Amino acid sequence: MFGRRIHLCWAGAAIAGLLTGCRAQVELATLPEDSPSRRAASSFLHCVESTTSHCVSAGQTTTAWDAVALLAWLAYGSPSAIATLLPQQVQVHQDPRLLERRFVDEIERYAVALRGAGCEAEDEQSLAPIIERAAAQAVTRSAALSLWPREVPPVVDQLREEAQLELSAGVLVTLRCRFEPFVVYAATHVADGQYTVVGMSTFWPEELGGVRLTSEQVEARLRGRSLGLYGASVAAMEDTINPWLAFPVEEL
Amino acid sequence: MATLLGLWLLAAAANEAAAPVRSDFGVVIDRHVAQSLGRGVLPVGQGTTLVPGLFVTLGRDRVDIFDRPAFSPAAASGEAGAGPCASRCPAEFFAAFQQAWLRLAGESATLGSEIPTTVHFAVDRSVSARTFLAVAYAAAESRPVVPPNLSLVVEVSGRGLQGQPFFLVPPTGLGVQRGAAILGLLVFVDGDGFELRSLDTTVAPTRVASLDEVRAHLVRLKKIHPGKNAVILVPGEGATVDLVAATIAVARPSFERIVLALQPPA
Repeated sequence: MFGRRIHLCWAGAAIAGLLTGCRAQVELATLPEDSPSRRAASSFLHCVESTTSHCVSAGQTTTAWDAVALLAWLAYGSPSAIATLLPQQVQVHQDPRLLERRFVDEIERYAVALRGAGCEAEDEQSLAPIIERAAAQAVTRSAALSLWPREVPPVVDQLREEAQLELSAGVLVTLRCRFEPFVVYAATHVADGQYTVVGMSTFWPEELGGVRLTSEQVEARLRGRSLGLYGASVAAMEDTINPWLAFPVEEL
Repeated sequence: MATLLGLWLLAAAANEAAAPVRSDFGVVIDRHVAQSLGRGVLPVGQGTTLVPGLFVTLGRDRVDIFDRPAFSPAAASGEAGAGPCASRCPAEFFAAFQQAWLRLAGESATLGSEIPTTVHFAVDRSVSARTFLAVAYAAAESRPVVPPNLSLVVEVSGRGLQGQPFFLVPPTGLGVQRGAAILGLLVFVDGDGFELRSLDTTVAPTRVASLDEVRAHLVRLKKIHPGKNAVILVPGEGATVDLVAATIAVARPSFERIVLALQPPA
């Protein structure tokens, strides 16, 4: 549902604020012995930590990651959201500007939390089989729940084609963090020997290789600033009727 | 190559021509219930259209959150839970729902939508009502910010599924201030009968055997207390979801607000 192509960068060079983006070439000799995808993912997170969305270069948008994310959503997202939002999401998918805005919003939502979260690349998996599994499950589920059963199969075919065209050699890197958001997923793409991150999320279905958080981590995420669930609205409700009984108590 | 939007519009047009437009979210719930629990297992009744929301399927040996298997309801019959659930629902129930709410929060943040405000419970009618309430409290207490609206899914003859809205007594009690004019009409529901009384003791405890008698008493009490519009149903160990749904059906014409509780509120 979001997609941008970010050049490999390295946090060490960005710390002093010498970079205006993530365009620095990396001396391979200075890198840890991780896979190129893991290094790209780690660098991307460092870039987000230091420069927020400014590390995203203009004109490098890709819809391929959005296609993967849409397939995962159709396969394992909430049926209530799919029932109401699928037409809108298909339209958004057609508009690179909206995808770009969404990706920037996603980065900005987590940039503060990621600073000091202590994230490290822990695992990686090829995107090609993930795309196939998600596509198959999306079609099966749509038929099983009668959830846009006629519309979903052709949409899935198209999304699957788009995703495989650009990301068949891509990798989904899982980064585990000591603090909120506890886990980050970064999708990498390789072209002409250069590894780039094309998408990021802090949510990914367990059925497609996502990590199950502990109860304490779930609580921390729900209460954390990134999701913004708790704030002014809670204070405003305190003086109104009991939220469990949304009617005047005199009716009891 | 056809664009995605073109494919979508083409498929949507074909769908509109070939089949009636989907009328409500009940179709989605109905399909999952049929696969998960089978046909004809839900309580029968009348309700309102099922709006898109979180749906929970509760069978004798499984609980699904949406179409994902989540946990076994067996823990409801064990010792009361501790930890974050103020109603003392099993921690396993609470944790499973909290995971689901987090996924929904992430989805809503990404899509720019709202976290569902309603939870529908599609429950095998033979399931213990107290197990159902333990699951309902876990779902409601774990929702971030505010408890959701709740509905019990019922089958409407020939018209698919609908929802019977209900409330839960707050897990920390009603919190009614001293001197408040509260009747607090209670109906204890059990396998061998019903008992009506009130929190303010103006209604003398009355034991009856049938739903028709419950209905008659409630009609009479409504005439005495026309400003009251809520009744609290307290299912006992022997009450099934079917019995609670039937009690709701006879109570709602007189008292529109149906409040469910595991024990009489303080």
